[in-house]
Formats: sequence, C-alpha cells, structure tokens
Amino acid sequence: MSKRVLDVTAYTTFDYLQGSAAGIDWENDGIMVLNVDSDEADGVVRLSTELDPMDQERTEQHADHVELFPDQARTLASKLREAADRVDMEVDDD
Amino acid sequence: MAHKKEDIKGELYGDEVREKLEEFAEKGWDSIPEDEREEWFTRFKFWGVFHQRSGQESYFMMRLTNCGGVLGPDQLRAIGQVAREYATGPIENPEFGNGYIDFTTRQSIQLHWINLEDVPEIWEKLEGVGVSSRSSGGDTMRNISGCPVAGKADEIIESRPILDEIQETIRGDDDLCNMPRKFNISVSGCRQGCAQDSINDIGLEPAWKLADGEKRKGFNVRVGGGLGGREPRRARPLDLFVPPEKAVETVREFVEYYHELGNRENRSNNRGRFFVDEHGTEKIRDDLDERLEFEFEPAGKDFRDEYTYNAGKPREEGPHDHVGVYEQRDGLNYVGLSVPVGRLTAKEAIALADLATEYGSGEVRLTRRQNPIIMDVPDEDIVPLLSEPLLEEHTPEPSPFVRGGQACTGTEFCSLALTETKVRLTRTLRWLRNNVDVPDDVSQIKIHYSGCTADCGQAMTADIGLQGMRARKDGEMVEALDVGIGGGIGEDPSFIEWVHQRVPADEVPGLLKQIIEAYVAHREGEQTFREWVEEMGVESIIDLTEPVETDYDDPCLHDAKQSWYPFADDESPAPTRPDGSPISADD
Repeated sequence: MSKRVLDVTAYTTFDYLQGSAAGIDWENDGIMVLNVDSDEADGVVRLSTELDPMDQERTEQHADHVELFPDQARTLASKLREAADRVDMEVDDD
Repeated sequence: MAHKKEDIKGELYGDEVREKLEEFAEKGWDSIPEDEREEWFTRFKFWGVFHQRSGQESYFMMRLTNCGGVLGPDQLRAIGQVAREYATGPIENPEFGNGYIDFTTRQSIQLHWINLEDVPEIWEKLEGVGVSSRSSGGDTMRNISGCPVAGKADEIIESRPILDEIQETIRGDDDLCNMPRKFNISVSGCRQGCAQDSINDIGLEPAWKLADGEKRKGFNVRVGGGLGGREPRRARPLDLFVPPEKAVETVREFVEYYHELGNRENRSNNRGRFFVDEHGTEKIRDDLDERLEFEFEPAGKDFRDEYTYNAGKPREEGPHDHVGVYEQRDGLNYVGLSVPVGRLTAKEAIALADLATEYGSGEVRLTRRQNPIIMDVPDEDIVPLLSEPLLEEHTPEPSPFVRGGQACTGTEFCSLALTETKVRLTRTLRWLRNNVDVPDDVSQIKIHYSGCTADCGQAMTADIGLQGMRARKDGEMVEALDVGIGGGIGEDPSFIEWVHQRVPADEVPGLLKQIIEAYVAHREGEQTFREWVEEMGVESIIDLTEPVETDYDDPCLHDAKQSWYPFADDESPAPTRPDGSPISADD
C-alpha cells in the first residue's frame, strides 16, 4: 500500500472513473484517476492514469504516463469524439 | 521555455505589486480587466491577497505573516477587530457564523471574505500594530517557522535572534522575492522538534560538537523536505554543522542557490524537495562549500532522538504539542489552548487577546498545530485564567480527538480542494468525543484532514490522515475520504499508509471509531497510536475495520464542490461591492 502517485485535486481531469489493469490471465477492476496536462517546456501533452492504490493488487503502486505531441493529442481528441458519437448514436437507437 | 507564471512575475512582482493592488482597490473590483485577472491574482499572492474560488468572485482570502508564530501585544486584537469588520461574507458558516480567523499549520492567520476595496484600510490597521501580509503567498519565502515558545522555554541554542535576522535580511529582501516556487525555512533551538524541520526546504536543527574538550553548540543543516500528496519527502541531511553565527549566511546562500538554479520551466517538479532530488545532497554541499567562505564541518551530534513533537512517543518522554500549562524558564507560564481545526470567531479572537493582556504580557504565539498560546502568565493567575469562559470552550485539557484535529481550508474557499474540511472535521471530532471511549492515558490521536492531495492539512504526518476524494454511493457522487494511518514526525518521520480509500464522508466517523477501538483493544500496555500501528501492521488493521454509517450527520455529503459555497442552496450573489450588493453585468 502506498501514496497516490498522481495529484488528485479539483483541477484533475477525472477524479473518478471505472478502470482496470490487466495481464495475460488476470484483471484488476477498480477506480481510476485520469489527468491531462501540458508540458510546455518539453512541448508535449501528458495523459496520466492511476488505478486507486488499494485496487492495485497485482501490480506495484504506480501511475502510467503517455506523452503526445500536439498533433497526436489532436488526433486522440478526434478519435475520442468519433467514438463518443458512435456510443451516443447507439444509445439513441436503443 | 520558462513557464508563463515566470513571465507574469518577471514583468512585475514583489514589493512593486502593492502599488498596483492599491490602485485596483481604489477603483474597485471591476477595474481589473477580466482578461488580466489571472495574472494580477498571481501577483497579489505575494502580498497575501488570494482570490477565493469560483462562485465567490470579488472576495479574497488574506494571509498574514509573522516569524515563528509570535504576535506581539495588541496584534491579535487588531486582527480580531479586522476580522469582525471586514472578514464577513454573504453567507454564514453553519458552525462558525460570519467573521472568523483561521490559524494555519505554518503559524500564521488567514482571513476570508475580504473585499479588494477594503485591503488598503485593513493594511493600515494591521501595519499600525506591526502585522504584515507581505511574502505570505506565491513563489516566495513563506512564514519562517520556529519553536513558538522560543526565547521563553528551554532551548539548546537561542533561536529567536536567528529567526528574526532571517526574517529581516532574507525574507525581507525584495531581490529574493521571486523564487522558482514557494520556499519554507525553519530553525529549531529546542529539544522537542516543534518547528518540524524535516518538512521544510531548509531546516536548521540543534547539534553539538566536541572541540578542545568543550561542547560547541550549533546547527545541523537539512534540505529538501516537504509534504504534498505527490512524493512527500523528509528533509535530507547535508552532513554540515554550522556554528550559530554562520547560520543566517548559510540559509541565505541556500536560498540564493535555489533562486538561481531552481527550475523555472516545469512547475510540477520544481519544489525544493525535487531540486534536492535532482542535484543530490553531495553536490549541494560541495556547491555551498564553494560559495561560502567559512570552513565546512561534518554534522554534529543532533538531538533528534529526543524529539517528541507529533512524534507518537509516550507523554512521559515530553510534550507532543503545546496544549496545556507549561512553565517558562523565567518562572512565568505559557498556556496553550486547543482550537479545533484552528478556527476562532472574531469575537473569540478579541477575547483571547484581552485575556492575554489581562493575565499575561499580551503576547500570543501560534503553533504549527493551528493552536494559540497565551504567554507570560504568573503562577497565581493560572487558576483564574483557566476558569475564563473562552478557556472552558477551547480548553488546555481537551479530549484527545479535539486536541489532535487539524484541517486545511477545504472547498469552503479553496479552488484546489475536492471536499469541505473544517465543518466536517469539527462535527466528526465532536461525534468521536461523544461516542468513543479511550483510556485516560491516551492523550494523543492526531487526526489531520486535507481537502485534496496537496495536503495543506498535513494528513501525511498524522496518526490518522484524511484526504478529500469523491466516490459513488447509492448511484450518486458523494464527498469521500481516503483514510490512512501511522504518520508522524519526530526523529524518524513516517507518512501514512492507506487503510480504506474513497470512503463516503458519512461513513468515516464509524470507520474512525472502529480504528480507535481496535487500537484500544489491541495495544500493549500504554502504547501510543503510532507505536501500535507500527507493531500491528497496516494490513491487520485493514482486516479489522470497515466503513459504516452511524448517526453522524454529515454537513455536505452530496458533492458540494458543485455549489458556490458548500452549505448554500441558493445562487451566489458574487461579485459584490464591499456593502454586499451584487455587481450585475449591466453595471
């Protein structure tokens, strides 16, 4: 058991999401924090996630970070928007 | 590329900000162009003027400053009078009403609901009695912390002259106003460790060396300590002993070193503790050795194994806080009050100042545990002082729960926090006092509550640490807390380990009751809470406890962050004029 790696404040992008960590033959479900911030000095957008420390039974306490150049971040944003639209349409059809 | 805050500070910062702030105050809140608010609010912080959170536009928090927690005669009275007149908002707090002061964990005082227009008048009143708000916020040197009873209680080395010189010549130096980030300095001269050097960017601790058969007293130097949820650090020893007469220049050199070399690009890892990670203590010591002219000596023998302040040691080893009546070295006494969560109404603050004058010298000092101390009380005045109504309310002999409680500002005013803190902890402490029995020898169970992982309430170093979070309960988002145990300072600081996370706020008191009852049932002899956790192990305590609803009534369970004030049902009137009338968009 250890501290949270990511800061969780009112400025955190999402302080409560359902998530999981998975291996070949295992999966840990839990609550996840997701944050997006920009690092102007390195010229990247950083996307970070962390499963709640007490939900990390199979892994060492950790957070994951992905660094995206601005174009990659925009591509991700547009893919997320497209996927969200598909889900919305599905929900509407239901 | 420098962070944009560096551009803002580079353009104008430090003492020059005051004139601009006074200009805006004269013209009124809406004279600050909307697109310039962020940059002006960044600068105002240097002068201790902080814009409150969204929904409370036009209202400011003012943080006052001092050195080592000392308030001279009349200073607290003036602060209380200012709180009564100016620190009143458009809504009452359900526990504290309107017009109150908050004692902070850095021996300071905060006032809320201040209108910008009133700031010059407030400064005039406070500065008239020697109280300033300069350098209490922003990227600057914060309150220099020290033993609050320095100069009055036994000390290994006299620290007051050193504290005062650091305050005047280093913190007061406008050339050093613009640090890469906030910066904390502490100097201890006592055996208790109550300045908590281990959580400061630079801390001086008493030590001694043998030279020519004689003991030489001085300080060992530690650097790079700090809390904050993300990677808290204990300050690390530089293996450096400095004699008292070299203490101030050593602190100055480290401040200048960080001022020059600290990272001004990435604010997520440029606090002093990360600076020390990056450079390493050996290099820092070598660099300081090169920059300073006197000869460096390795660390002396310290007194850390005697530290008792929030150390989780049995009370016979020494005081773990300043609550109670203690003899001063001049034969007078100091009387430490217990103010739950550090909040006093303005009326109580004025009454406290009056009592300090009537029974003592008028001096009031502030501890790092959000509590005030009345100084210089003769023996014969102790009994009458203790029977005053204010000391019955904020008694020097409180329950261990009330005694150990401290909390940050929380969502009431802070834009960073995820949950309300002060009212919730006040009610929780009251509920514990009424519902949990502990043996008479248990005098300390320190419960610290921070509204988020920034940890301004110092949850990391509590017996039981609480941090604001959110959870889902019965299909709704609710305010929740991460609950951890086993932190403390002393010789070997330890940070809490989580026992349950995202506990809905209304289930926390029931969980705390179980944790404390498990402690009472399973501890050996007179083990303190911290000793018990260390021996029992966190895993066993997780198995013994679980969150549970009780008859505790939470003040704002349902995600009050979304409202403009945690206890409000109606719309915010902000922004308003100083008379409280709303400034409409049409004005």
